[in-house]
Amino acid sequence: MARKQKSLKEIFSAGIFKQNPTFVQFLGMCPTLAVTTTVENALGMGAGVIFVLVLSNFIVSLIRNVVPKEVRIPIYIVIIASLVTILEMFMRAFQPDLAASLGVFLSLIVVNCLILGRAEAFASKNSPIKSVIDGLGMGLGFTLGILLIAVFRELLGAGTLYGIEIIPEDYQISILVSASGAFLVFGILVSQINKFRFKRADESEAM
Amino acid sequence: MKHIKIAFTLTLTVVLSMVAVFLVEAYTTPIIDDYNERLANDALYSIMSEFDGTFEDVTSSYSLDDSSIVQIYEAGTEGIIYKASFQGFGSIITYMIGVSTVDSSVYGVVILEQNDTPGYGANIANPDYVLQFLGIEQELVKDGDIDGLTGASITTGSFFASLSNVITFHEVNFGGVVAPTEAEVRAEMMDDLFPGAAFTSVKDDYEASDAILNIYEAKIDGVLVGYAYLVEGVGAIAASGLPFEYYIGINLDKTYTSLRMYENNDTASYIAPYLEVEFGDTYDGVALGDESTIDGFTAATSQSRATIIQSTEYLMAYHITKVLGEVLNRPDPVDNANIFRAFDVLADSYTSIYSENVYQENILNVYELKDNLGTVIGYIYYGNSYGYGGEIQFAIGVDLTNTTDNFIILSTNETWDQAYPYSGGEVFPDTTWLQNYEDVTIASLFTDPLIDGISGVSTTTGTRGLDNGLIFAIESILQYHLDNIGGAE
Repeated sequence: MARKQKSLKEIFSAGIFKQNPTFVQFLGMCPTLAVTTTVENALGMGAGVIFVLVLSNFIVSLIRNVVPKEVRIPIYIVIIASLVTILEMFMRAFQPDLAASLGVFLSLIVVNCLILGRAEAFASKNSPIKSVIDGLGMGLGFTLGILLIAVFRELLGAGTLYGIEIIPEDYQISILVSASGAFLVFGILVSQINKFRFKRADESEAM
Repeated sequence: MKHIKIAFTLTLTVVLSMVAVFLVEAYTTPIIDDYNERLANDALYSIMSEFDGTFEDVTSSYSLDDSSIVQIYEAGTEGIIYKASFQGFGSIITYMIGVSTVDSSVYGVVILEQNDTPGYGANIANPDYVLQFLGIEQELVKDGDIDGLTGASITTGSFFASLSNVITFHEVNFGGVVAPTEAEVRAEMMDDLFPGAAFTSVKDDYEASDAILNIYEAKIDGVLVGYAYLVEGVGAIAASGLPFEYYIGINLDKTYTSLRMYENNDTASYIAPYLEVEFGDTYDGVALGDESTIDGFTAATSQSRATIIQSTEYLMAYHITKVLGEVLNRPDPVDNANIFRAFDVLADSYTSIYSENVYQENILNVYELKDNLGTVIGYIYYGNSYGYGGEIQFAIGVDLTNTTDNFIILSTNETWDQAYPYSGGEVFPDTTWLQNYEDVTIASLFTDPLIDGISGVSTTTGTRGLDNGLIFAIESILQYHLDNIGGAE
C-alpha cells in the first residue's frame, strides 16, 4: 500500500509540534543549551538556523537526483558549510553585535545535526517546495524551542527579558544562566511537554 | 565512469561553493572592515575623549610575543591605547586600556567584545565596573589593586593578569614607571635604613651565622652611623618553614632604624601587611630587646608576626654579643614569684647562668638553683613562644637527672574560648596538654610517641614538623639543656 502523501500544512506543522527538533527529536542540543542565556541570542541563532536549513534543504532537494549516493554526505556538508560561512559574513556585516554575541556557535551551525539530518532524511527524498516548507517548519520549531528555554533562563536567571530589566537582582535564580541551569530548564520543559504529549496520545488511543 | 561522475560532482560542488563564498566575502569584507574601524575609533575616542589628534597604529614597531596585547595606538605624546584580549570563563574578551605617557595614570578601559556568563563574567562590560579605571594609577592596575567581578573569579583572574601584562609592557617600552631591578630594590631598602649612607660589607669580620646573610657598616661622610643586616628567618606556613629575608638597621645607640621585608614566602594574605613600608617603619626608634613590642595586624597574621619577632630577637642577640662584643642583658623575672613554682623544691639562690652559655631563640633566661649548702639542685628555664594571641612567657624546671618538674605559664594573651570544639572544653593555660611536659625525662620526650599539637589551636600549641608554637619552644629549650647545661651531668 502506498504511503499517503503529506500535505504542505502537515509538513510545516510537524516541525513545530509533532517532530519539534528541540523537545521531541532532541536535535541541535549544543546550541540549544549554549546560546539560550538570552532571548536575543536565541532569536539570532534561530534565524540563522532557519536561513541555513531552508536554503540547504532547497539546494539538496534540487540536486537530489544528480548526486551520487556514495558522496552525498560530503556534498551536503560542503553545501551547509558554505551556507553557514555566508550567513556568518552577512551577520558580521549587518548584525555585528549579534554575531559577536553568538560567537563560535554561529560557525557551529555547520555541525548542527538538525540541518544535516533534514537534508538526509527529507530534502534528499522530496521536492524543493516540500523541502523548503520542511526547513521552514523545522527551523521555526527549533527557534520556538530555544526561545522558550531562553525566556525562562533570561527572565528568571538574569532578571531581564530581551535586555529589559524586569526582576530585581535579589529575586533572580542566577544558576539558571549557567550551564547547569540550561540542563535544569531544559529537563523541566521536556517533562512538561511530554506529560502533555503522552496524555493526548493516551486519549486518542482510548477513543 | 562512475568514479568520474563522483569526482566531477564533488569538484563542481566545491567550486560552486567557493565562488558563492568568495562573492559574499567580496561584498561583506569592506562593510565588516568599516564597522571594525568605526568601532575601534569610537572606543579610542571614548577612552581619550579630550585627545583631538588622530590615533596612530604602531603595533608593527613592537614585538608582542607572549603578550596579551593585540594592537597599540599612539595618541601623540599624551598616551598609548592598548587593545588586548584574554580568555575569560566563557569567551575570549577583548578590551582597550588607555594609559598616560605624561603621568602615571590610566585614561580608562573599554570592553570591546565578550560573551561571558550573564550576571557573572558578562558584568565586565558593565559601565559601572569599568568606571573604576578612570584616572587610576597604573601601579594599582598592575598590582591588581582593583575591584573584581562577583562570582566570576576565573574571568577576573585572567583580566587582572592581562592588565598587569599590559602595564608592564607599557613600563618597559614607553618609560612609564620602569620596574626596578632586584639590585635596585635591595639598594633602595638599604638606603631606607640609613638614608644617604655608604655601605661596606663586614660579614667576614664576625662569627658566621646561617641566619645572618650579610652585615654592613653604614657610614655617612666616612663616619660610622650604624649597622645594616640582611637576615634570613624561617616562616611559619609550611613544614620546616619557608624562608623570608629582610633588611634591618641598628643605630649605634642600640635602637632600630627601620625594617624592610625583601621577600617572604608565607601565605600571601597573611604576610602582606608585613611587606609594607609602614610596618617596617614601626621599628624606628625601638630599642634592642623590645622586639616583641612591635604590633602585628589581624590575629590571622600572628604566626607570621611571631616568626619575624623570633628572627629579630636572634639578630638582636647576635648584634650585641658578636658584633658589639657585649654581654646580653637578659630579662630577669625572678621577682615574679610564679617562676619559682617551676621547680618543686624552693631553692636558696637563683643565679642567671645564661650569659655564660650560647644564646638561643625562645630562651629568655636560665637560672641555676642552689640549696643552702651551695649545691646545685636544678635549673629553671625562662622561655617564650608566640601563640595566636601573641607572646607566651613560661618557665620550666629541670632537675639533675634531666627530668622536668613543673611547667608554669607566666604570661599569656591566649584565649581558647572560641576553640572549645578543638580543645576539649579546656581553656588555656589550664589545659591538660601542658602536663605532657611535666615530670618526664627529657629523653622520653624525644622518643615515640612524640607529643603533637592540638588541631584547631595549633598556633598556640604548634604543629609537629612546622617548628612553631609551644612544642618547638619547649623541645628546643630542653634540647638546649641536654646540649649545653645538663648534658655533662
